[in-house]
Amino acid sequence: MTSRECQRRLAGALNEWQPSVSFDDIVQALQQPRDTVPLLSFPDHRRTVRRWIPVAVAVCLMLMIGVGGALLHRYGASGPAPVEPVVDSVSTVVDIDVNPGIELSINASDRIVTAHAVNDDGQSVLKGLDLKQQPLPTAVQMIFQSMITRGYVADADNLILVTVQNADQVEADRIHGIINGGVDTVMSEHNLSVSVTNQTVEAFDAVTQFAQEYGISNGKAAFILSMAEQQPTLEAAALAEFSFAALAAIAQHQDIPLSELVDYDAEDGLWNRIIGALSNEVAQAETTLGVSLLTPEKAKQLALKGLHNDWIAENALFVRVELVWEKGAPVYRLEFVSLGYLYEYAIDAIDGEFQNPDGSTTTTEPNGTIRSTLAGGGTRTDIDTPPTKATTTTTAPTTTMPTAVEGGISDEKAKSIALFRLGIKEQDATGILVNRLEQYISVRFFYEKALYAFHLDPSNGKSIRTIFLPEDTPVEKYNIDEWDALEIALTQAGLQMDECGEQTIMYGVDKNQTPYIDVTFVDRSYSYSYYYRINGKDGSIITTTSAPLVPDGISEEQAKSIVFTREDIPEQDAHNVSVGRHPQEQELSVSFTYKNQLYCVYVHGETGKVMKSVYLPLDIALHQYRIDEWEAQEIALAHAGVPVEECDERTIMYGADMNGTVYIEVIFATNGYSYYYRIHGEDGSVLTTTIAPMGGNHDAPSL
Amino acid sequence: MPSVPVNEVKGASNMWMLLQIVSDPTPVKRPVDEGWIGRIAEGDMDAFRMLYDAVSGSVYAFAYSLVRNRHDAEDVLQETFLRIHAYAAAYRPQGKPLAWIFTIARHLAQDKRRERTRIQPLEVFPSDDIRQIEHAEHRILLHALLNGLSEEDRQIVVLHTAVGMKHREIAEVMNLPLNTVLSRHHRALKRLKAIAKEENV
Repeated sequence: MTSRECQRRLAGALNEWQPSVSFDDIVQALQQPRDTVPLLSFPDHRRTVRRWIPVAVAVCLMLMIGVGGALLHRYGASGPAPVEPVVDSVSTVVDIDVNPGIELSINASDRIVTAHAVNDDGQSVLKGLDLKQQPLPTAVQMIFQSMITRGYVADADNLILVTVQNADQVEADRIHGIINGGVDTVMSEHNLSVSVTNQTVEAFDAVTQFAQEYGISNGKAAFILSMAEQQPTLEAAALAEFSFAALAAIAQHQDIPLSELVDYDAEDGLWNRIIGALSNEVAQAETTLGVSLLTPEKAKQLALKGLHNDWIAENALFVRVELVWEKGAPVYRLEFVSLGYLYEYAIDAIDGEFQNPDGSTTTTEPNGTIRSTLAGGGTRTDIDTPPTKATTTTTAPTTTMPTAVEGGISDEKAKSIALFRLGIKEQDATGILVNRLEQYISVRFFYEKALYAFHLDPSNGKSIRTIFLPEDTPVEKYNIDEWDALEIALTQAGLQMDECGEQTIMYGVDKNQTPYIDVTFVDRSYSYSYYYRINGKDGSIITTTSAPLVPDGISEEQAKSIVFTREDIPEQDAHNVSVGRHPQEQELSVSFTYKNQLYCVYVHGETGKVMKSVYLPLDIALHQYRIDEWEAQEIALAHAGVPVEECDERTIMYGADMNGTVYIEVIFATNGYSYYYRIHGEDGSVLTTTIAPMGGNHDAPSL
Repeated sequence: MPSVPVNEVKGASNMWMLLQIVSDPTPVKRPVDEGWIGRIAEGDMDAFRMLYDAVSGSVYAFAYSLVRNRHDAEDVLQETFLRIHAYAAAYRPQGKPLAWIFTIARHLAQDKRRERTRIQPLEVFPSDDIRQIEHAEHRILLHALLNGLSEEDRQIVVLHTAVGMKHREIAEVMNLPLNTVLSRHHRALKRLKAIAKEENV
């Protein structure tokens, strides 16, 4: 079954599989009062649809009254009621945003029902804290103590957004007071100052939806939506990427009155306190130019523009866009991946200047990695080619290095590389642990019931090995570990560790319940691939295969030379040259752009013979195509009745005729005839066919 | 000359990546007129019905792929359409009605699943839920889809196969890099084909 056939049949299956909910059921539900519709998030809050209005009511009253006043208000002069409510339902939801984001659900007795992290930093803060049923003041103190311990609140001035979701403003004020009191207590113990920005909102679908969409707290979402409402030129989606401190700075630059955003009491001098918290950075930025900060989108555009290469820009996938404060100035740190390279830029958030020194230099790392400083700023690192350098021992190194290798990658970068390699987001992984060892950086985390460990080269982030351990692995049955298995495999292969490239190690149990460890690697020259299945109990080899990857084949350089000679294009005039090796198909592909056209030429891995050439004008209306070159080739060969292995070199060209019809031309030769097909790019129909004898008077074959 | 399996060579070339972006073959096309959403905002129930007819099946399949429970999937389906109705006026036409609809459905399904896992752990999906499927081959494929793939792979396959979304749109809805969506879809199809082969489909 082909993939297409599989999809077609699956589509049929899904089409047959219909819900029992009818349209009439939906209409009936619509006619019911909204509160009777099942609520799917925050089930203890009955949300109603109403226009969201930023609440601008004074709240810092409780700061003056203090916690005691709050309790007096709540329980009266006679003190707390002796019996607390039995039902543990949520009465208020509180969002705390520093950079860590934490959401607390509180019951009517001011005790914690649930505590959720809304981002990874929040998860880190909550790690090890048992907040359930803790009184709110205690919980707040525990949270901020943890934030200080973990370095999230370390500056002289700190800015915190506290959002209380409660329709009752008096009750919301009381909660704000408790929280502010708890924060002040912890901060004063550590001689830190803090500005708490209070905000009260009612639970509202649009806010929740926006928060969920961008993985932020409801409180931060409310603040952002309010900002965007005040200043229509701001894109709410773009603001979601900023920390609260950065948001406050933007609000200041945009002249958005803070009183319109948060609970505000002029006498409390909240605005001044916020300015104080941001004093160095914002004041400097403001006095320097007095202009707004760039939006993240603008920063992205600048980074891509700095490439001077549309092809790379079109394929860019951003993995980091972060506003950070460096040397008293706001700077965007941007990272994106395109065509096998990781690009890194630092751009001044005020004037858009690239932070990296100009000029283009290239350095080759000891392991062969090429790291380039790009003209116009930024750096480029090859992330696709596996490393050629490896560790020299099979004993798990245990020496922990306390600091990053100079010029190497940071722990944060290592984490993002590991997650990127698995193709998942940080929030999808749990228990992320980065450990810097002598020979590699280890990034471990759980994802989908398995433990993943990525060992990365500290100098450039390239993968040294990946270890995969399913959660249900019966570890008690193992007498060897992955290092033993690796050593056994290498000994069997007759290789030293430094002769071996990237390794993959997987734990598993076979049908006979025998625990095993699979070890896969290639040799350093990429000539052979090795696979060993090692018995986890006794270290014996259960299965082994090794296969030549490039039997007497041509090198990448040779492939490039063949292609550029054939196309009669000077290599130095081509852009984005990349060579891919496809060992199973015994071929190499050389792709590049030249004069607004993409070339992709496939060369036989042994003989160097050109097997297929694909030409794609870069300005072609690609969105109109519903078929690709492979399908066009399939259609043409099927029409001609020629198996692919019987035809000589194939040439495939994308194009459009004068009527704007997009097509793909397929040209090939077999048995003394040349075939030309023009295939409709949208529906795959054959538009034109020409068959001509090659140098002889043969009868044309019938189609 | 060695055999060059047409479908197998695709995997590693940048060219293929580019072309996949623009030429995803969509086995099922369910055209959704973006104008319907504006009409829904104006109270046009005919437009609401047309939208329901066009995408309810795929919203249900998508929700089921996340919650793996018929009752919850139907709840998500219903709530999705109630929200579409409620927020149609706030929808800004950007040529991506499907992305909007399935982002709503995804969030609701995730909420439902969180709610469910607080009560009881998610288990293997109940086979009864697909007993209604008459064709044995379809049942096998659905079983493979629901039990043989990871959660994200399931979502990608359903969005591509049942909804007819392009990989680029799926990447947007799922907030994943495009390359991840492409490689996961490729891998998921391989897995489904392998299961289908084992089951002699």
